Amino acid sequence: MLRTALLIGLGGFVGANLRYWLGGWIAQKIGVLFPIETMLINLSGSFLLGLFMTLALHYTWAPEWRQAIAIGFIGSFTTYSTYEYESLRLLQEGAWVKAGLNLFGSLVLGLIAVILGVALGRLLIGGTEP
Amino acid sequence: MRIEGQAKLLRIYIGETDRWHGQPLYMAILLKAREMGLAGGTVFRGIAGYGANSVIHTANILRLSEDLPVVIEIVDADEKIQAFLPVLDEMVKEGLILLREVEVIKYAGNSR
Repeated sequence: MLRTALLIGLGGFVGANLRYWLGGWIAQKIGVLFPIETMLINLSGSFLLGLFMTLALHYTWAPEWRQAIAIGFIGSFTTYSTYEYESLRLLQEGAWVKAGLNLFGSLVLGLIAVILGVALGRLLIGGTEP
Repeated sequence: MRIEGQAKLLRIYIGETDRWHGQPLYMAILLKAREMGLAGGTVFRGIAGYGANSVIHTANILRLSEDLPVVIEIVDADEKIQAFLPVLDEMVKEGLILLREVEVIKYAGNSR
């Protein structure tokens, strides 16, 4: 149990910090009128999770890797609560189009990102494995 | 204490996470102003802003909502404000301090 807590904690530590620093950098570089940094982080995390889980299940990687990377790292790298909070802020400002783009864009693009991650994983393992 | 007519408005722009001896800087400034007998002060929080280092702070983007702008306004007669400036200069390491002429129309409190 302590081992699991440490693995998840370690992955979470890296993921949360990567989101913090990368998110700040993206927001300052690309713009602050739309929460693009949260969307990009959630999309890339979704892609990575699709890819990682496809490989992990195919090669039966040790469950510790799934704990550290899928649950800890990617789990804390991506953020559902920030996505909802920033959507609410847009709604409160009356920025309906941006709020809609954020809410539905993230939802649909996120699913596409997972699918692409899974597809890349299947391509890497050479084939037909579900 | 009475002020009327010509007076000075001191406006101080800092960040909400700025600190002075373990307490929020805006609170420390306000308490110091009161201690030095200045007529009154008000602290405002901005919802977005940027300063000398060009980093945008906004409540809309969670990641950028950490250090929102705080503005402190203090009004008093010129000599009282001038006496406060050196103290302020020591306390504010990063920020902006402005001073302008104002005309006081009314300054009243309930006498206790």
